[in-house]
Amino acid sequence: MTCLFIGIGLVNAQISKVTGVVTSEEDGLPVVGASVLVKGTTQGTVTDMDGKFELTNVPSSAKTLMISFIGMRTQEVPVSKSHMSVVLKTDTEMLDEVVVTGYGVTKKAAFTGAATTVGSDKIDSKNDANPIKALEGSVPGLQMSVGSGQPGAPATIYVRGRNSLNSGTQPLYVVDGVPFYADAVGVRSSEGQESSPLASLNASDIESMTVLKDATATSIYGARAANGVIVITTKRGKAGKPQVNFTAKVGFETLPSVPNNYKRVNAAQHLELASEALLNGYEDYGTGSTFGYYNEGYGMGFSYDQQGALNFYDWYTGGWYSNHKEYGYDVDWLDEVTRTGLIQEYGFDISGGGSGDRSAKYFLSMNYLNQEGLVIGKDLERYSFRFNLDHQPSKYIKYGVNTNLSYTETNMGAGGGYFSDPITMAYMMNPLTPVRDQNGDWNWDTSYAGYNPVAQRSENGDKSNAKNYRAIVSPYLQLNFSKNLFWLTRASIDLMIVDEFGYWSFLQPQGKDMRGMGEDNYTTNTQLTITNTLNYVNTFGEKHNVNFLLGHEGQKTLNKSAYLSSSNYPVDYLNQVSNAAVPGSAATYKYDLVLASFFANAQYDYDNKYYLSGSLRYDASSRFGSNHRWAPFWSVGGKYRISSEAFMEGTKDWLTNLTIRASYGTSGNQEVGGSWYAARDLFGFGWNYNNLPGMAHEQFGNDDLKWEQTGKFNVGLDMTLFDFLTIELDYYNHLTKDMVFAVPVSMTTGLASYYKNIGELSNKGFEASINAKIINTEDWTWSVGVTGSLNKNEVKKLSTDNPIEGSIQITEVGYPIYQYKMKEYAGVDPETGAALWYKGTEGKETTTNYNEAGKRYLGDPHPDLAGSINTSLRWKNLDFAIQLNYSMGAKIYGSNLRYDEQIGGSFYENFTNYIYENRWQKPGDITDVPRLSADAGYENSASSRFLMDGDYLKIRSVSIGYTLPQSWLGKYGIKNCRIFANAENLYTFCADNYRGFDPAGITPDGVQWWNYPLPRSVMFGVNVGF
Amino acid sequence: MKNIKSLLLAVLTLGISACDFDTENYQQIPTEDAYQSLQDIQNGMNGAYYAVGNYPFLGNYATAYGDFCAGISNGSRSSGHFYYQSAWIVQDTDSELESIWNYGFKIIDRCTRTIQGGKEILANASTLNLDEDEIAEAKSYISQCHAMKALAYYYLVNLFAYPYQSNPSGLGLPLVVDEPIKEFENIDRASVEATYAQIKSDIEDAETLAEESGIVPSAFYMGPMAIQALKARVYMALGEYETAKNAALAAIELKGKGNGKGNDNEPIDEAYVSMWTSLAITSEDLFTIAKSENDNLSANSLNTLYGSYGATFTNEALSVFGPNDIRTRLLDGNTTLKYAGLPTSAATSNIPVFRKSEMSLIIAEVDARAGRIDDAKDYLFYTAKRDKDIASVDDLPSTTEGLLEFISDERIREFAGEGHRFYDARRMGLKINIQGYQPFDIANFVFPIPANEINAGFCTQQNEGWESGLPQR
Repeated sequence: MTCLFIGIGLVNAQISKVTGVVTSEEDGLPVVGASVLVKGTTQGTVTDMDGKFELTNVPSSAKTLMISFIGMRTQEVPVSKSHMSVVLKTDTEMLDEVVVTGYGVTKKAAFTGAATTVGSDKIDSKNDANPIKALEGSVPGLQMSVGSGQPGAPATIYVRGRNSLNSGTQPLYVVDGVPFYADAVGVRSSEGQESSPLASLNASDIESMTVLKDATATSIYGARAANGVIVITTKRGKAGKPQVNFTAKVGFETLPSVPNNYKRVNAAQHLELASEALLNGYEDYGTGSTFGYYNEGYGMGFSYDQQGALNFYDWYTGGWYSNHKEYGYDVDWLDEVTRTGLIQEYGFDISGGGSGDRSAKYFLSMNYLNQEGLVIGKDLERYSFRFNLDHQPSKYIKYGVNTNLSYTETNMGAGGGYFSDPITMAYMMNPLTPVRDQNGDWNWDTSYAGYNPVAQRSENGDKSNAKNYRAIVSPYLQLNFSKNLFWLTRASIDLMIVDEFGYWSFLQPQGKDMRGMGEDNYTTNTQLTITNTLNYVNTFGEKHNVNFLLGHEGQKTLNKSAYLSSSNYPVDYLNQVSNAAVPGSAATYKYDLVLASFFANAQYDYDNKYYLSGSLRYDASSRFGSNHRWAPFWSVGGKYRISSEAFMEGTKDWLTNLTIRASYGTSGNQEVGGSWYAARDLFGFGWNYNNLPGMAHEQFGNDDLKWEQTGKFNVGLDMTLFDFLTIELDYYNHLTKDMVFAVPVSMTTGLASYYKNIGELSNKGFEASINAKIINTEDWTWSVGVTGSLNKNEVKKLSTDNPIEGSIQITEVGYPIYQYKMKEYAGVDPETGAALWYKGTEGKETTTNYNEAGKRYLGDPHPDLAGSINTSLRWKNLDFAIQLNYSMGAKIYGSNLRYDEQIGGSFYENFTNYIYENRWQKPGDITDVPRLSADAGYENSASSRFLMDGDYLKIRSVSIGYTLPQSWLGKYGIKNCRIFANAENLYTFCADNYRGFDPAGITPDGVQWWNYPLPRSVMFGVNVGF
Repeated sequence: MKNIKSLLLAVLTLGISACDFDTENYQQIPTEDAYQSLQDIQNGMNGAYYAVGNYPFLGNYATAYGDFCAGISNGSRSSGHFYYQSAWIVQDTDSELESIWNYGFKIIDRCTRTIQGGKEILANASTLNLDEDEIAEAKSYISQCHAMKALAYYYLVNLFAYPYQSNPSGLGLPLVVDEPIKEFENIDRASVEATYAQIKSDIEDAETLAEESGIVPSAFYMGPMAIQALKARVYMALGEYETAKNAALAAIELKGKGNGKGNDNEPIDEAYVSMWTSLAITSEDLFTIAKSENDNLSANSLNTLYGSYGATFTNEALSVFGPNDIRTRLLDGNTTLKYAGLPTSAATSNIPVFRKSEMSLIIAEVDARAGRIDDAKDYLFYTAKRDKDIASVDDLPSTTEGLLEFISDERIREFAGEGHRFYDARRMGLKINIQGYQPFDIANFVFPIPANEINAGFCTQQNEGWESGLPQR
């Protein structure tokens, strides 16, 4: 009997062969290199070039095979005697599982810090040339202020609040492990003519963007990380057959709808208001009024009624009223200077990686973008090329290179508030004056004699062109000493050349005065970086995981620029500077910056339950004074996966994950002082007189000048409930010390300030992000996400006990950096229509005398709560996604409204609808727009009359797509094809009292000027993959 | 492995050797190396001239305040430029006032440093092997720095302190004597009298060094004739009339273009009108700020202020011009053509600071006050004859009061747009007529010290109660 059993047992232990093929669900192609393991044993193999595998010696007791591949969900399939066919699904969740952090990649599960990753699906679906703008609203804690919607314009980003008053505030950008030079460039950037180098990045090259926020994440970047770090990773090749993708997108951008009360009035309404203002002025001042004075003084004899006022208007303007009557002039100037801009983007990429681990993997892409701005004369054109190569020829050596070449050409032009800005002019111009006169020539008889915004942007008009040539080449070499110890050296050269040409044409007064002025500025910025790291990763006793990193980094930046200008051109249609007769200025500049660092990072975790990490870094910069050359930074962090504990067994069915993490550490800001040489006491030149050189004392030196330091504390909670609801909550508390101030000194010293590390600033807040995968079946997926963040910023210490006060804002201890303090408007007296302000600094007493009004604290431009709501829906092959951004509690001050909402005193300029509909006209009217008068006084002076609520709900982006079914495509050799439409900035719901283009399109200080509006854009496209 | 080790070493050394943190500065020099040679003294002096002629000081603001805050000019409401000044909306946070204060002291600081550096170089003349010509040059530069320092203090003390003749012991300005003020040093305001003592002392030093030097620079620099012209203006403010007259006479003589009396026709009328659109030095220029096509103030110039920014003259100012006065040819409707600029560059005009005409008017005023009526009329006729309706000295008033009143109006006719009125009216104790206000006692008004100076915490004495001096409606 026993023999039989033994026999059967022996029969059972018989070796059997298992074969099968593994394919990918996404494209149907075989998965090469997938791991096939017999579960419970160490037996396994790897799929071959055709995705096939063959396992011999499989014990018959084996029940299950585990098939896995990176980026795909591991599958367990029962062992079968017949040829098996396994389909692996792509795991987009995998993205969440990997965090690109300082100098490496860490599994999110082990990461003790606070970071948010945005995937390529969100980045790709946006239309802007600058891919960073895709982060707007998607990342809790990241506040993006886009002060200009111009193509290529920079965005200001604050991660967890503005971190410094006087030093750099922008985060560090790292692309593929190398710091990326991202400061806005432009020789006239102080006038708003600047473009962001980030616009040279091609969005479809980007795999993911990770925003690192807390100490654990950022400390390792040392003296450049106080403002946060944004890590961008581009796509890389994978093993397998070459895959080719083509994308074509065509669309347009336009001015979004302007709120009704910010629109300008038409000719008839303008005349109605102008004549009313003249008559009111006469009523108040008689012969002292404009109407009375000239009427009597010149003996014109116009009657003091509406027709008489119109006739006076005609006389005073030299015929604008009669021209309007005769020729019907009624010009909408905003319409004249804007257009529907065409946007086109074409690109292809090819990636592949041969058949095995030892073959080279590559990713190559080319992309062309042409974006016409909604304002005539502003546009962007970009060509970009990328080639990423990774090769591991043996198990000891891995190397690769990332190459990015791009050429970006932008046509800019002065920003808001300047007379040469078309949007500003559109609001200054009068509807009665035509663009061209009856002869077809340009009309110069406008509100500002000599300015005609359409002419200025016409063919022979002003030019402001910037060509940005960028080449970034970064090779790396990795030496694997053993399977636990490896060395990585990464070097990079980032060369950026910006060639700007500017021309003030004959079609504007300043250019005409100089008979044309041409200028050219040529800047070369070279950034050389080398990073060396030694990394040790190991697991002891199966449960103890350690990861040590030691590193060194050196960086040198060389900046050189040359400028020339000349004036007096012979003809008005050729603008090369060689033609100009009178040389203006010529200058060359050269600046150097050197940084060096040493750092170390250690991570330990036990059984995927308890995690601990720490880092230390020393940075030195040539910017710091000689007494404080080396800056130390450190951090500690911990994480505890409560849900993995034995006592949490009972919750496993509903609580998939509950983790708590905390960190504290320091990071620094080395962009201190006004320049790379801010610590030195210097005399400078260029203070010339009568064609002879002059010199002067330019800055005080401070050997103690050093970095600003931010101590960051963060505590966070991550929860996943029922496997579909993910919640992340964070609380943070940042304190910036040694904030550099240009400490005011007495101006009797010849200078006004002295750089000193003296101030303190704090940012505290909450971030929350909730994601729900409500439906997840084969035919349907639906997920919803909500993010929200609130940040409280407070100045803790300034350089003196005195605040820094401006006309409408104040920076004061105990208040946020930007705090509104201004005279408070009390509406209009219902009986007389006179403007009222609150008297003094307290109380409700009103006065009609502006000088008696006192300044009061009236809110600030920081939102109380801001974030986004997004949802994406897929039904079979159709997909739909929408993102809404919201903000509550911020206030916006309309500096432009002091001019746009004039009540008659700015005689030639236009009025807005808000004035037309709300002006006081008769006793009993309750309104906030005072009675019109051509002889107005202080009504438009700075006060809360122009302070508005900045709350908004914006339909930020909508995208719809349809992926053509496989069955249609297979016969053409096409692997996938998707047609789609992406729309951005469709509509913004704003507060009733908001007058402006877009409450989200303001600079971070909350002061609205004539900001170039954020465009509404719609793009249609098709993506084909082979 | 050995190759790998050496590779590693090479990379590491490369990495660390790239680190010299004392990066080279290609544009600037350390302060301690600033004054090493004769050329440095000239560089420092030119740096001070730059500040004198730049827009925050005499290039625009300090000149413009002289007209916009004295009932001569009005800023345009729609452009906003200088509108608040002419509408008497004044606050201690006004940026233009702050710029004037800031730049005035930049001039003073640059001059003090150059004087100090220059004196050191002169003391080392033998080690530096300076020959006699070079020593003379150095003295000329130092003399000009003293003169500019006095000039800057003169403007500042008249804007930010009450007139000398009202209250000499009142608060004047903080004094920078031999050494530049160090950062974080507390400094008190000296009295008006002490401030003027400093001005007088600088003028004296300027005179002495100019004489020792023997070099006479052009009218674009503060040479001997400019020093005398400044002295004349300063001593008028002090009420020391005879000294002022002698200085004015010396200035005219040093200029060497006519005697400034009634029969002096230099410049002739045509030249007088056309000199404003040319950069050449004329017989009027005693000290004029040089501008050029590639060095003009563009949008910040007086040209643009009276041009596309729409500033105009007030009716009160326009009303003193007679219909046959050649100076009406410098008016275009209700604005001035003095800053019309060049045909090739409308923003480029020289800015006259001291003119020969002012010397004649000073002499006329001194004589009128002393009762020397005929002499007064003679010097007054020099400028008055530009009104063709005044054919001879008999058409001029013959009493001290009549003459002083005429001289007040004549100064408007002569200097409208050149920024004199505020300073003249305060000195003469006149009441200004501004539309919409009661007659304004301008000598009783003073501008506040800029808030940012007070808030810095080192010079903290404000002009308390300054608001009560504002014109009343």
